[in-house]
Amino acid sequence: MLFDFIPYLSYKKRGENMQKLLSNRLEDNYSDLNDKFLDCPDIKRQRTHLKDGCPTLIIYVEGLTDINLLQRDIIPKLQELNSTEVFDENMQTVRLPVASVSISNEFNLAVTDILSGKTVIFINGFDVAISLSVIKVEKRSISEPTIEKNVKGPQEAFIESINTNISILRRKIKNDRLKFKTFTLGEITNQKAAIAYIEGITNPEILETMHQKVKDINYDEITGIASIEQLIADNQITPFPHYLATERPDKVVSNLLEGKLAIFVDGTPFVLIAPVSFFSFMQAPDDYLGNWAVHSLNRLLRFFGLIIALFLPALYIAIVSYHYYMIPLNLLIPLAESRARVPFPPIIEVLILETTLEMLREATIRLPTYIAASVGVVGGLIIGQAAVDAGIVSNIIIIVVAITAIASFLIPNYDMALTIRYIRFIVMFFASIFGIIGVIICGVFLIAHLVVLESMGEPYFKPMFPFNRSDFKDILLRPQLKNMRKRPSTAKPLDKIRGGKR
Amino acid sequence: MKKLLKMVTILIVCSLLLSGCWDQRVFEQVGFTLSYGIEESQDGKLLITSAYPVIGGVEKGSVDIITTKSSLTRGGRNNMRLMTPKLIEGGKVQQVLISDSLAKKGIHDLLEIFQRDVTLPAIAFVVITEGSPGELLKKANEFKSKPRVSFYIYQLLENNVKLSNIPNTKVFDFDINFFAPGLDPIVPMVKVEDEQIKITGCALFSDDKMSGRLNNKESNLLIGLMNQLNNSDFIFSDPKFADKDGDKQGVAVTMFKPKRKISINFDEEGIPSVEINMKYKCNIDEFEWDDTMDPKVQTDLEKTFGDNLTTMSNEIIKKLQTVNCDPIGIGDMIRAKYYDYWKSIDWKEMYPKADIKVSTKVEIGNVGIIK
Repeated sequence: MLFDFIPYLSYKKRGENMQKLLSNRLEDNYSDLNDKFLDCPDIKRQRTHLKDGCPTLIIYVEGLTDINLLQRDIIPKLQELNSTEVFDENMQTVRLPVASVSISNEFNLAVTDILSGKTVIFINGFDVAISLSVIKVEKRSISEPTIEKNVKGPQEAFIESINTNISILRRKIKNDRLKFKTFTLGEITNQKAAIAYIEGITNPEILETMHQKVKDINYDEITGIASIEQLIADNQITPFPHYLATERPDKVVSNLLEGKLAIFVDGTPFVLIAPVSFFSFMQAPDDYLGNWAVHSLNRLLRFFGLIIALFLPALYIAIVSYHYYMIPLNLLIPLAESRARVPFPPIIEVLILETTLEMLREATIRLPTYIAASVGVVGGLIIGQAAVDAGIVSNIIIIVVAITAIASFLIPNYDMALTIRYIRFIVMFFASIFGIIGVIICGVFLIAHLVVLESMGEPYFKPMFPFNRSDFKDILLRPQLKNMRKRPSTAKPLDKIRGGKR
Repeated sequence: MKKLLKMVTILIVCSLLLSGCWDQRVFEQVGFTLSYGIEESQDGKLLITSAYPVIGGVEKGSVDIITTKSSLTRGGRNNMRLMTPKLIEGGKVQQVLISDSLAKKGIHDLLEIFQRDVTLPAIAFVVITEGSPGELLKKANEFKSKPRVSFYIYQLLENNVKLSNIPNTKVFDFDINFFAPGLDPIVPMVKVEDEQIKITGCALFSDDKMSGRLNNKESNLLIGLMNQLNNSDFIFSDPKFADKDGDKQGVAVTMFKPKRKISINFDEEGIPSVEINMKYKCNIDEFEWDDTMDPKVQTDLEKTFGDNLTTMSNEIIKKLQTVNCDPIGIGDMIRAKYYDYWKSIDWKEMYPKADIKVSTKVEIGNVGIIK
């Protein structure tokens, strides 16, 4: 008994040739399963018998199975059958009122089926297991997106269940060309995962590379979609996200249609899109849902916000510390007056306020909403008035930090916003040592870094460098839809033109 | 990765511990001079006056004005640093005020420091004061109803440059015009007059020495001849324009950017004869109540305006030739077009002899909504 699991282990090691098969004696199967599921009280092992008294074993996981259905429709039907009547002549189908049934004679397959929530039936005298899909998992309903809100687009987001997520996608793309490559991830958690792609658009090379990379992940569990990104990213030092995580199905659809891949993992409401460029993180689905001129302005505003969020506090530090002559004459005296009471050098002044703001931001994420509101009030008061009155910071820095914060909220992607925030601090330190030259050097390094980065072998800074004219249209501005006939070249799509051939 | 961590740590530590070292100039600790006044002291040295706004002082809006004696412009700053709580810096200088008596001896050497020291702005105005600039700054500082003195002078100059009353002479303009062989700089002049600083016209320079001056009306026209006039208000004050009652003795017009044509010829002796054709367009703003709608009246007026301006312009040219100042750049044009000729002459000697004629035409665009 003790060494029963050794063959299983060795089969794992030696490859899939050595498969443990089921016995046709129910008792043998029962004791094997009992060993396997020792100390697993949630796995119910129910003995019953058929009409002719043949002993039968029903195994299911409590909480993953639709108990009502099982009790009302399946077990009574089963008990009315003779053991000879359960299967047809070829042992291919089962006479049970269930839509999804599979029959196998492998022990491990049966175990996997049980663990994934299927109800498995063993009948004495048959060396097979019947897996019935009567799964009913507790899951939350599809709700509004929480971190990627928009105005006019669809108001639904992915949820934790991969099956629901895939069904959402299928509902949106009613086409047989939408394909999924499925596999399991997590050495212990055995999570279901899928790569969605569109046949005929997605470049098979990219698909193959990604499939291989993700399949080869050797890790206990995949907590969130970002784990995948961290485990397969080429450059581990860069703060920039390599792939785009989104909770919006419409975003996934539009990216799939550009030839990109979407990675779904069970247990996370986020989907990873690859390959992407830096500018994908600056686009919002709203951009495409209205007049092109208006939304072009929005785009420009966002890029302006990006630059402000990166450089404004650093510029303040540099100018105040080194380059007083850059300040316009009319601003010079009010600025100097407000700085005159502050005992700290500008870098400390900015750090005090920036850190306070970051703490406030971090605190409000974790706190329950009703406390978070009062934190906002306290923080606002402290930052807003008291710090100036006490002479710890100047009036101007409050404006600078506030504008920076607002600008950084403009960045539509959460990961990118965090990255920008992180880089802002580096630029600030450089500015405090080298002045405006430090800011410029930082900018140069930043661009150099972005140019070197790759997302799945594709240049990260693509339409800018290497320059691509037709892609570039959709970067700073948003052209009219009919002028965007060509799919972006980021994912090297097979079919380069949008729309059918007419 | 470890290397990166080390670098980042060093960076953060440096920025926290070393801020305040190196060449950091936190601006509330800097006394940024906004106006420099340069004049001659009795013993032949320079008297340098500097005005910088007091930051964090007891009284709001106050300006500290310090005068020191030195033989160099830079020496003034060094002496001031020995007296003030703040680090005196010149990075934000808005005006350099130079006394007219000093200007007559040549001022380029005084401005030389603006070319050497990169921190000094080349966009500061050069201004000639009638009398001592130090006195002007001190007096202007006591005006209760005016902004801080440097701001006052700056705004005054800016507005009048826009109205084409004075030339836009910044330090770099002065330098360019000084170094160009066929060009001479002109510089606005100011003086203090009953609780005001008043623009009194412009100073004419021959090389870098002040050699003459023009009044406000004349400088307005000169700027027109220099082709730098935008819109300007001009008043023809002549008894010829008197209305029936005789109280209004003139016409007020708005003049627009003129068209200028210069043709240069040489007579047998090699003396250049220059014709400057100016074509102004103007709107009538104030005149007597009459039939200005009538085309014939308009043509007459246009002719009278043109004659009036021609006479005045020719007078200005005469003046310029007497003081040997060529701000229009006729020499520059000859140098560009007739270089062989230019090499054969000394322009400074030739310019007063040159035959320069201005003829002006005026076209009335609009007589107002009068009917």
